[in-house]
Amino acid sequence: MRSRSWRFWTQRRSDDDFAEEVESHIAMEVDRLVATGMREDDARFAARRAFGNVGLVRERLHEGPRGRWLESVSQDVRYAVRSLRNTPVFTTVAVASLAIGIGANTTMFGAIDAMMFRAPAYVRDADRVNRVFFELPKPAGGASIIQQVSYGAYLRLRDDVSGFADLAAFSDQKFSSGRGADARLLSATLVSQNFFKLLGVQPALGRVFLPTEERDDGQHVALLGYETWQSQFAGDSAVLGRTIDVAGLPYVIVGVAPQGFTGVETDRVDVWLPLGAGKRVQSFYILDPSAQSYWLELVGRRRANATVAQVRDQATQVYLRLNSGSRYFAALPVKPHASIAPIIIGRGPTAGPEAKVSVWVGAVSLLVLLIAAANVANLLLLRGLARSRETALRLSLGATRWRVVRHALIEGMLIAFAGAICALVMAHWTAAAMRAFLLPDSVDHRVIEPRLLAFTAVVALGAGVLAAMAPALASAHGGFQPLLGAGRVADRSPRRLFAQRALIAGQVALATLLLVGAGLFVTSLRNVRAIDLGIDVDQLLYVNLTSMLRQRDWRDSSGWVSANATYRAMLERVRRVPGVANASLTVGEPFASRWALSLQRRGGPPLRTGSPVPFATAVGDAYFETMGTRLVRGRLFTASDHTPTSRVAIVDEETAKQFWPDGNAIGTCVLLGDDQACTQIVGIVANAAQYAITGAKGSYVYLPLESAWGHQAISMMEVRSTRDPDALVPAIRRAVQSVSPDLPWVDVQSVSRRLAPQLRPWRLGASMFTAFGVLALCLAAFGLYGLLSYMVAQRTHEIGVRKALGASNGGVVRLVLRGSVGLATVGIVVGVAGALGAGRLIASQLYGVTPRDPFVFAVCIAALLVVAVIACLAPARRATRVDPMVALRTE
Amino acid sequence: MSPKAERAALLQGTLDLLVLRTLALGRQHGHGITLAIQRSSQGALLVDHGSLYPALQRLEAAGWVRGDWGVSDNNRRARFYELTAAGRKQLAKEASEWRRISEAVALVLGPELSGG
Repeated sequence: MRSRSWRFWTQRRSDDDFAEEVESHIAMEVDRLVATGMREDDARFAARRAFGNVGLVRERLHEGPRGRWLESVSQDVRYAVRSLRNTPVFTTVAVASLAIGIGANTTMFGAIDAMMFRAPAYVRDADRVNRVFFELPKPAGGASIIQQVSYGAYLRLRDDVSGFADLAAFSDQKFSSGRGADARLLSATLVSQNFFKLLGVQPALGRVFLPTEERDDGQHVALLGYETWQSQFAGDSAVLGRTIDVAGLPYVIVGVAPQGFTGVETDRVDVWLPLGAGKRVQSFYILDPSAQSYWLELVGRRRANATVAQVRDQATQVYLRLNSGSRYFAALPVKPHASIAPIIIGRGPTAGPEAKVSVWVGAVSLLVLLIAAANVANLLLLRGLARSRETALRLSLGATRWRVVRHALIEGMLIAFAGAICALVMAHWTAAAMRAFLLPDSVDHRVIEPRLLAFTAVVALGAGVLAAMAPALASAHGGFQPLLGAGRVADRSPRRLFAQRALIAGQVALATLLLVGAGLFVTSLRNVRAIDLGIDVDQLLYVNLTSMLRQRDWRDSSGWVSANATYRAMLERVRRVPGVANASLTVGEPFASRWALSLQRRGGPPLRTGSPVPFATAVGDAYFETMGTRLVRGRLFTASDHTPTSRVAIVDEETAKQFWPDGNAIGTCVLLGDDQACTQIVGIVANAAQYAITGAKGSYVYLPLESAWGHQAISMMEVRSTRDPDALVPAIRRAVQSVSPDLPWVDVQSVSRRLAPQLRPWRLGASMFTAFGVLALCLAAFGLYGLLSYMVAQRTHEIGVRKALGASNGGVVRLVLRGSVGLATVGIVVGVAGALGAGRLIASQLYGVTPRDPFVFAVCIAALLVVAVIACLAPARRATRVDPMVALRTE
Repeated sequence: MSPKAERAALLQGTLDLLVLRTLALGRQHGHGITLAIQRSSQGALLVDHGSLYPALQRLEAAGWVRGDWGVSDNNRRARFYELTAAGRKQLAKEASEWRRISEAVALVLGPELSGG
């Protein structure tokens, strides 16, 4: 091909030369016509007409091979479009297959791109911007990641790590804004004054913080998030100089952050505040270099010539120096070190499990695409067989093999791009839902954007080539050539049917892989859900009281005593809300905060260091009933226990096991903390979860709220509802507000909603694997159906002969069934082998199920076999209807 | 796409074959080739004058024919084409392929005509 065109170009004749040749031709034709007796004028006209458009012919030559190539490609495209239109069923199925495959990938792309590949918006030279963490090796192996440092450590790191051009600190907090019914919760990010400059972000309006404003004393200033500016201030540019209420204090608005700016994370930020505002969240969130309060996260910009390794070494040195006095550090066998991570949220040591699972799901969606491409390849192959006569004709009439191959490719491409367009339409909804699922607080809601379009185009291109490859190769190998001479026999050329069978078996294998994955994740999710948390989390709500009266003065006890009185009044109101079954108050918050309290058996050995120290929590009456925590032995607290002088406690089974291996906890006397008086154990309750639902449970000591131990600020109200807890939130909020009308934001949330993020990785894995697994199964079933239908059609003659020779319908059905189940079995065996091999890759993502769980495998295999049987029902029915006489006559 | 365009694509290979076959009889110019094909097909095949020259160009580019200016019988300046050695080989190949295929096509078409 190339040498030919090369010769063409080098030997190209001039236009004049060609024009002369055409003129000579016309002159000769005129001569001829005149010789037959035509008038010269008429002859000239006729000669020109016979030649056609001289200019066009010249143009065709002038364009050379490239022009001809374009012309023939456009011819092929038109031809392909027409032939696709002529077979609407084939086209619909093929396009739908690829739409599903491409759509699955398009759906995943947005979320994966945002998590794994894209730096947060507006960050300039993001590859030089790093998060800074510290890894503390645990004595038992592994490492814990320290994300937060104190203000003092921040200043040292900022000034002493020379590889950083600048280092900023930030902290995400929630603040209440406004009072009473208008109160709302603000997501605030507290930032050091250099934060915006470091990232390279310009405000949309106004200015960023001044160095003098970091401490938040003097005038209080704030930057609004763009979305808050739009929703609360109607995008008014006169907003500068106005104030916004943050935790009861007026903050002067000095600027507005650009649209969609979320700092170095992806969650929406309503307001940006100077670091010094931390003291309004927690009294120990202060900018005192000597305070041991760890609450600041770090982000740094490396100098152009500083490598990550250099910065890591420098930061490690500074960190070790800062902690040189620590005995804990000194005892560590391996020294802690800094970890310099990219600011992309799915990377780095603190990436959530969503990032890992979403990459898995991304891989799964690629598998679905492969299955879809295999499906289309198969359909094209089958159609290629049906059209082999036409192809043979085309080949014999001068079409080159390349042209035939190209034809297949063009068809594949057309199908792929039609599929891609359908996929994009689908993704408009599915990708948005996926982002909402994976990145619930992200402000970036754009779905169809240039990167997604580019990705979809690349995927479509790949899928098109992949799908067209098998049929293109089949035609290039001249599989059609012998057809003309040998009639029907060639249709069953072993190589071609082998290719199709392999494709079908491959589809079944991939579907097996996905279904097993789905089964494992569904089982994990079920296991996680079935964990006995010791707390009945359904229909349970929390009212967070800590945030509510924060602005009041806590330094003397009269503050919390009066606050506790208010909380008790709230409890009474909440208990009267229709739909509330029970409610109680606690100090300390299940799944979040509690205090450690040493426990010693009276007369028992003193606690050794390293012995377990139980967690203590003071609970009001009806606490265990509200939480649904089961009493194991003894009794719960009674009204007489809730007196200032009472000294009783309830322990859970874990604590009882630790301290009373003999099992005689009830009635014994313990010394709690530095209390020298005896506290009596009156009951044992079931273990309750500590932090994570899959984590450790138990080790609690429960004390009556109204006793001596309860002399602290109440932090939590628990509410058990008789119906959907989320629907009860507004009523509870109103009941609380009715006690004290100028309350800030009342934080009421159902516990299941609170725990949802913990369940998300399994929910994600289960739903995605199931969705994609079912898609894969449908695609494979369709492929199987297509192949069987084709085989039945091709073997009409053979089936007719068999029937003529006395084969029963049952025998014919068995014949088809054998083909289907046989192929499926091959696919299942390969898929099962693959699933066994790939299992250990997802083992860490599973809960309570091994990646080789026999039950899951058995169910998947059974499902696949059933589908294989269903796929062959229609073809088998058709086979039984073959009339032997008709079948024989057609041959 | 119009049916005409498809016929043109179909005829492309055929026209090449016919041109080569005609030139096998001797040196000829474009006009002469059209007449020769028409004559030897007893008027059944009409060569589109407009598509002949692109075909000649293509054959020349492939190295199967060679073109040179000369003078025709009636004293007109014309570009004469002759078959090269490669063209002769190509002709043999295409001709035998064509015979085989046309027989095969006839075989395929035959039963349908009679059995339909």
